[in-house]
Amino acid sequence: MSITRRSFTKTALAAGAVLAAPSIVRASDRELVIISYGGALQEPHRWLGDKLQNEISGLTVRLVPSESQDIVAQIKAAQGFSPYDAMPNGEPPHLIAIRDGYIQELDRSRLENAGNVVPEFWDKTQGYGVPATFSLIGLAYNEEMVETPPTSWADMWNEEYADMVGICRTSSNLGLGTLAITAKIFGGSETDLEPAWQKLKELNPLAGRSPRILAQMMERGEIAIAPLWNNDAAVAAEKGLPIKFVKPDPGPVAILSVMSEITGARDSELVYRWMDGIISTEYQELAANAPYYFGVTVQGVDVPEAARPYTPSTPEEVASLQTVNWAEIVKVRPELVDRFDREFAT
Amino acid sequence: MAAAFWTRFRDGRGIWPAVPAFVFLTIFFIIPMAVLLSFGFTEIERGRIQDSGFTLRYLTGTLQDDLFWWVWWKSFYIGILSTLLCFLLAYPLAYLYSESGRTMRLLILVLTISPLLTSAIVRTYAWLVLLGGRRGVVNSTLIELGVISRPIRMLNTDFAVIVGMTQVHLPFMVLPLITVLAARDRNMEAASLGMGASRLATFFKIVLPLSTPGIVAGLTIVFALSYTNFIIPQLLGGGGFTTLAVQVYEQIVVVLNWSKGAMLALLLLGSCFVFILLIGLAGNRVMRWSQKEAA
Repeated sequence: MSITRRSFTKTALAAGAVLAAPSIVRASDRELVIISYGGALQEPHRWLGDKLQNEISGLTVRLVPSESQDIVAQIKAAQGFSPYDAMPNGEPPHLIAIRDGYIQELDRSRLENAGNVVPEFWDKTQGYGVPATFSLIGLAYNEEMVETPPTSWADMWNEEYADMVGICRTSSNLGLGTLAITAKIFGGSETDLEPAWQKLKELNPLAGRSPRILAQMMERGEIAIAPLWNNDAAVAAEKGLPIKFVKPDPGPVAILSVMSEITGARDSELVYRWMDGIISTEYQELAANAPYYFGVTVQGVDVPEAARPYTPSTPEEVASLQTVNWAEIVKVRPELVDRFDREFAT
Repeated sequence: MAAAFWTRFRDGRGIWPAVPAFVFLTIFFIIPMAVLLSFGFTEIERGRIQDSGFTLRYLTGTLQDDLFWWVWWKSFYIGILSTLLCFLLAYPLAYLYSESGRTMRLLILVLTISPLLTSAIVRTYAWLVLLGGRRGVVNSTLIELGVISRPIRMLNTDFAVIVGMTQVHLPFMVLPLITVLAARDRNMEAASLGMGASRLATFFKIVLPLSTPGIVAGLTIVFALSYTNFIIPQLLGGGGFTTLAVQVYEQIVVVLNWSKGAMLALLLLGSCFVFILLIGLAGNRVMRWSQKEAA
């Protein structure tokens, strides 16, 4: 068979069409791009994504595991043309997102499951997004390195743990929460953080750049004790690592995570389906279970037995949860990030 | 005139072969970089440039900030130390290459280039495994051998960052040195030895000056890479370790203060250019001096 110029052109065009077909088809379908967590903590989102894909023909749900701060810079740079549709934010970045206008106000009447949510959580969202889950900041420790487990926040300053304490940078919610609770237990407040800086400096701590890195430092035995997210401690313990979590006196810090629609999301209807799924009983039951142990925000979901070391399971424990006036912290967040370098830069 | 211009264009002579690269770099590097750096002289609120016009506030504020100078010194010290370590490790290797037979040359070349086949991030993570805490390979081996009883803190220190940078950037020092040393004129060495100079004197008076272009190229590349490196300090330095590149990231991504981040980027880039220029000028002086000596 001879190859002519015409037959070659035809073949090339056909091959090009075949190669381009999947992306052409994909472009005509619907896509939902959601910012998610990294590692095992992403699994509840994946479950919800798969469920929506099965329910809505042609839908692709893409999860982007990333630190929300990295994404925020991209969303701001996109100037209203965000490549993402929805994102979970802890309370501090949620307040910043409302102030800076890159998340959308919520129309609760568009959610079938809105009635499930514990009413107090709606107040914390300030009318933006749905209260997805809550997490605790408590004390985690490496049981191979610690003989006496801590029971209170003040135990971090015990001689036994000298030079073995880790803290997270104030660029993270974990670092800000640590700073706020330290201020509170040593006579300061959200508007007077000076006592916290002094006390944290006394620890001569090893700093972690992010909560995940801090958890890894504990896994490797570089630090023995650190304020940590309950979920990160639970995932590490589930992997068989010698990490334990305690809810220290007077109580762990609870931070709500809010799932919000990003301003300029391409398909608002889909985002509402996603947010509705987040506050469904099914999703919340999954997120509350091993190994994630997220705190639930809807009524009628019991705390599983295995989650009890990680989440509040009795009315007394719920009452002891420490909350932070994040509005005050958010006002000075840039200064707090800067101050961390001035105090702890090595 | 027009005909000559067209002929040169058609024949691809003059600057024309460089035009595609020039256009590409202008659109995708120079213009975005200029826009980013210009942010350092404007007020940006919530992602939008304000109408308040040109300001020197971020430049003066940064230059008057002790933390900036401390971080600058840290970046410089880490950059210069890892560059010198790279040079000290790379030169003997490159010299060995130039003196070896085909098999040995191939082996050295493969060993030098093979790390470049994996990502620098992967290689940096490998250092986490080696140096990390009680479970790290180094500490657990030393404890098992009875050399130490408690693990030594190696990760999250300057040591870890310098070791990581030296390992990751070593090929960029070895390759220019290999190129220059392998292609050097051997007749001059033979003449020096023939006239009674010792091997050591011949090395310092002939081989080393002849390899100056490779040294300058290697120092320039490795210093620029080390001074502006972001990943290695982030992964191996710990949360308290900061350099100018890390500060740029913090300001732009974490604090969302684009103006300050852009100003830091400008100062990082500008000071890097100055150091590269100084390395180039020093290299030229050494070459002129050695030519004079030889004459």
